[in-house]
Amino acid sequence: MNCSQAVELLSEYYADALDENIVVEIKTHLIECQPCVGIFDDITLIVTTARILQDGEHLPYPDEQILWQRLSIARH
Amino acid sequence: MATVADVETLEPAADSDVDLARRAAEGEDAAFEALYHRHFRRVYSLCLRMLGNPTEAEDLTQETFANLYRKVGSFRGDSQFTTWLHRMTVNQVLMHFRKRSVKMEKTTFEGETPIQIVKGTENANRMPVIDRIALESAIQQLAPGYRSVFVLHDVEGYEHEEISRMLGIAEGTSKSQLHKARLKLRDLIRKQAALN
Repeated sequence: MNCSQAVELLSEYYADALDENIVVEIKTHLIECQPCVGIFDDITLIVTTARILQDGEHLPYPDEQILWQRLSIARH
Repeated sequence: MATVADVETLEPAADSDVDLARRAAEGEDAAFEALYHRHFRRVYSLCLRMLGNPTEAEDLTQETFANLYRKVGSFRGDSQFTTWLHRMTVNQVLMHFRKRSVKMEKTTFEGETPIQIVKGTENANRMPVIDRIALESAIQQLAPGYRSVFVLHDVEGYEHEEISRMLGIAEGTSKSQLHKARLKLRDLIRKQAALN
């Protein structure tokens, strides 16, 4: 397996959604290829960071009350 | 025989989502307003992430709650209210995309440079440690098709099978777009880090 083939499969590898023989090929490739390990680590970091975005704590929110007033006008 | 305690657990708790939805459906404005304030942030944040534009997100939040006002009577309590409203929000955004003729499957990386790995150079370009703000900013720069799949899968936790149904795309396309979205995010974060 070369780098392009490995990179193409890294999300599925992360999701544990590949056949065992493909998993073995990727594992073997990653043992000897630091650049691909780097890409896999980055994908892992993106996915784990995305998981904590769901609470939305850090987002800038518009004024809830003004939007409520707009909604009230639209409803009536 | 059911005890008082059993009956109490079967009844919706006062001011639960189910109770508020029932009362809102009966025309109680205060109940609808309580639902709005309870779920406003959740709906807005989902709209913002999928649209990548605060003004459009405000408009779609308003449209979603206007739609909720009309349809709250159809909530049967088969699923959690939050799940039901979440799906309603996603549908509202997708309808907006369709009006704007955003083609979910035609979003590609055409014209962009594919990842080229040169042995011994890649680690120098590793993505820096990222925080929420950096990732949010990168998400907003994704093309709509990639952004929708990434937000629905990696942020909101939907499975590819559900996403394919919602977006009207093949499950394989959902998987492929998710992977491309992750690689694109990595690229955007690295470029941003290089500018800082």
